[in-house]
This record gives sequence, C-alpha cells and structure tokens, in this order.
Amino acid sequence: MWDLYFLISLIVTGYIFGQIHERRHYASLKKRELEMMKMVMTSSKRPLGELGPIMEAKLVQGGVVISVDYFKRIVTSLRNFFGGNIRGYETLVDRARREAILRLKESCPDATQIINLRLETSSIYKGRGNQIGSVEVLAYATALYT
Amino acid sequence: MQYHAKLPDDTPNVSHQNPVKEFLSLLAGLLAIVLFVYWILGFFIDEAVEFISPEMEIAIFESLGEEIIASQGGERSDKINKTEQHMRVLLDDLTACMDVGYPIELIFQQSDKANAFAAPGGKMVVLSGLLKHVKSENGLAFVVAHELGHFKNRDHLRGLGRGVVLMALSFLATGNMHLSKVLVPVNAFQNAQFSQGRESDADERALDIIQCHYGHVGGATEFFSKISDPEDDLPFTHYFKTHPEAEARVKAIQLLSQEKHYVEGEVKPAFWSGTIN
Amino acid sequence: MFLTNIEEVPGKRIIACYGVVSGSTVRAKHVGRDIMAGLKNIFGGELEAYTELLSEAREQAMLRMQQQAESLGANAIVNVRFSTSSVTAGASEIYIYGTAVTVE
Repeated sequence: MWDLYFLISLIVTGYIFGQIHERRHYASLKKRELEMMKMVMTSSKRPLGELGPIMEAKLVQGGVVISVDYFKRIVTSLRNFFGGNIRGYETLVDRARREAILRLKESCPDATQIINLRLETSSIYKGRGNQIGSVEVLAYATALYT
Repeated sequence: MQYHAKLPDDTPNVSHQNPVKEFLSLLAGLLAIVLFVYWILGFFIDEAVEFISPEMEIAIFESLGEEIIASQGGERSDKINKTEQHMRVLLDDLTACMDVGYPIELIFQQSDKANAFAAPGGKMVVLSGLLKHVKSENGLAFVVAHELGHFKNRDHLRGLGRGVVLMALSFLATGNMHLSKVLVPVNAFQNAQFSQGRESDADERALDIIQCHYGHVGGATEFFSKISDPEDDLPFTHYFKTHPEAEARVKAIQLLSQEKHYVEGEVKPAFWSGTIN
Repeated sequence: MFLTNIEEVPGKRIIACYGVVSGSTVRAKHVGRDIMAGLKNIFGGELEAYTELLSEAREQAMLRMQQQAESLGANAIVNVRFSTSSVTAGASEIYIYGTAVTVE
C-alpha cells in the first residue's frame, strides 16, 4: 500500500513542478525570442541578400539537456499502449530546440547573419526500465560579421 | 530581397490538451481493457484447473506455495507445539469426512492476523491470530473445513491463476515492472480468490464436513458471527470485505443448515486455551 | 506551398525571407502493432507498422512546419532538413526545419 502512496505522490509532485517549470520556461522562451527576433537566421548555405565584405565567419553553437517529469512519463507509458501523439514529449523537444537556438543566438549577439543552422537531437539518459527521460539538443550554425 | 523579422506561430508544435484529462481517460481505458481480458482469461483458467492433477499441482507449485505463505507474514516455529498437533489431528478427522483427492499439509504460523488460507501444493495455512476469535473446537473446525472446501473446489488454483494473469496483464499494459508491482500487490492472489459464489460453495462443503464429524453443526457460524459484530474491529481477509457482508454470510449458512435439516448441538471446548498468548 | 531541400526554388525568384520555421512530432503505435513488430523481428523483413508510424510522423511534422510558414505569410520553404531521435521506446520523433521564404 505504501508503494502506491509513494507512486501517487511522485505523480502529483511531478505534475505540479513539471507544470510550473514548463510554464516558466515558455514565458522566458517567448520573451527572449522576441528580443532576438531581429537577428537574421536561416538554414541556407549562402548569406541573405548582399552583405558586402565579410569580416569574420565562425561556427557558433548552443546546447541544452531537458528532462521530462514523472507525471508525463506515466502518461507516455499509457499513451504507448493506445498509440497516437505523445504530447508530453512534444512539448519537451519543442522547448529543448527553442532553448538551444536561443542559446546559439545569445552566444553571438553582434553577428550580422546566422546561416546554415543545423540541429541534432539525442537522448543521453536512460532511466528506469530503459525509459528515456531527457533529450539533448545541439544547434550549430555559421555566424557572419560585417 | 528583404528580411521580415517575425515569430512563427508556435501553436502547431505544442500540446494544448489538458494533461490531467488525458491521463484520466487513458487510465480508464486501460483499466477497462485489463478488466475485460482478465474476465475472459478467468474462464480459461477455470477450464484449465480441471486438468491439473494433484501430483502435477504439487510439482508445479512447490516453491511458489512457500513464497505465498511467506508473503502473508507470520513466523513459523521450528518445533511442532501442542496446538499444532491438535490441529493436525482435527484436520485428519475432517479429511476423513471428505476426500479432497490429495494430502493436505497444515502449516500453523504465529501472526496477529486472523486468517486461514489454501495455498497451492496442498498447503493449508492457519495464522494464530484466528484462535483469539474462536472459542470452541467446532468454530475452528468450520474454518478449517471451509478451507478444505476451497481445496476440493480447487479455488486456490483459480485464485493463483488469476493473480498471475493480473500481474502479467498489468506488466504488459504499462511495460513497467515497478508500476505493475504497485498496482498488483503480492497478495493479489488472495483477493482474486475472493468471489461470493466460491465462498458459499466452500461454506456448504464445510457444513457437510462438520455435520459428518460432529453429528451436528453447532458452532459453525461462530467465527463469522464474531466478525459480523460491528463493535469488533477485525482485519478483514478473504472471508469478508464489510460487516454487512459477514452478517449476510452468517444468515446464508443458517438457512443452508435448516434446508439440510442439520441441528445444532453441544460444542467442544477449545483445546488451545492458555497456550496462545 | 513549395518545399525544397536546396537553396532556392528552381525557376522562381525569392523576394522575402522570414527565418527558420520548424515542425515536430512524437508518435507511437498501439501495443498490438508493437507486439506484431516484435514477432516480425524473429523472421526479419519490413516492419510495416513502424514504416507506417514513420511516414505518419513525417507527414504530421511537415504539416506543422507548413502551418508555421503560413502564419508568417511565406509561400515556400527552402533548405528543408529532417532530424530524428528516439526520445522514448517504441515512439518516433521527427523534427523538420527549413527557411521560410516568399517566391514570385
């Protein structure tokens, strides 16, 4: 019986803290994305428009590892049974990617353009029963300075 | 070419459904499926139980039986004391009245719980807490005979089979051993054994045994009446889940003995008084 | 909507650029398909359930990326790239990103 209480308390704590965390993260993402909006960033190999002489081109990157809360892990194992979209993990990877791109932008605030953006995702931590609980996203690109 | 500084609409990539609602609906769906499959498999188990011979049962469940007995708690004393010896004699007398089909071994365990149960492999376990709640030999004999009825009907195998199915199902459904261990406690087999029809079948067999051994059915409802007293705070086991249930059971047994024209007689005093703390 | 994985849309001129748009999804098949795929593993061959899962996930992610591009007012996405990873067992995760542009 204590096992059950323990599980329920894990789920409830996971839910409460997970929700608070997610909401805060999204608020911060939106605010920072708005600040960084003016930066030109594309996934193309060539710079956008005529830039004139380029002083410097360098590789920039941003990475982040985010974990999913216990509540979402339980919902995921249930969802795996029925099939369909796993919503808990969709927000997880969405947040991780936006965070990685933001960190990449923040690492080169003076760049004129960021081109050839690429993203890599991997799961680095396997939790209990091989349930993967966290994702790592790496964003890399070339920053051009004029 | 111009660059428009805009933020894309982020709604398509993010979930907007209430996660609690999703969790509850998924859980309800899963439970419904599990219960349905469990119910279906129950029928197959009832069929399969008929094909397991006593020898096969002992061979299969030798070690598992021990584990189930251990999971119920209680200590087993190394040497057989007087009470246990008496109980074995009682069991032999009762089995003489009804052939269960294979030898039954009585295991007496020291425990606070008032319980007795049929474990696979022909092992009948009596927890010493039971003796505190019965005042006559006849009262105890009825409980023992009731478990003999379970053995005769092979309810212990049905219960065990269902317990195993429940465990396997919950593991399959969640893919998480930890979760399924929580959902299905080790003693699930005991609860799975509980079914009103099976219990009253065992009661009927017990009545017949008691009538055959003592020549009357006095004291048969003693243990159950004690439990049905709402003043008494007893740990409910597979016998009952609630007080009213216990009352109904006592009435059913009395009705049954009337139908069979069994009469009540003088009960024998307890042989364990003083020996149990 | 034009989608290409090269720098431009051939035969068209890019007149405006909106930056990076993306679409992602995480999907799973129900347990019956998982079990069948597990059995299929013994004999080898194509696991239809998972092929289907991957193409469904790709479709959905692509659709989401196009929705983002539309919300910006773009009519083409160039330099589209696919990225995938396993975030949980038995599920497919697809991420698609590209540069949203307007072509003539």
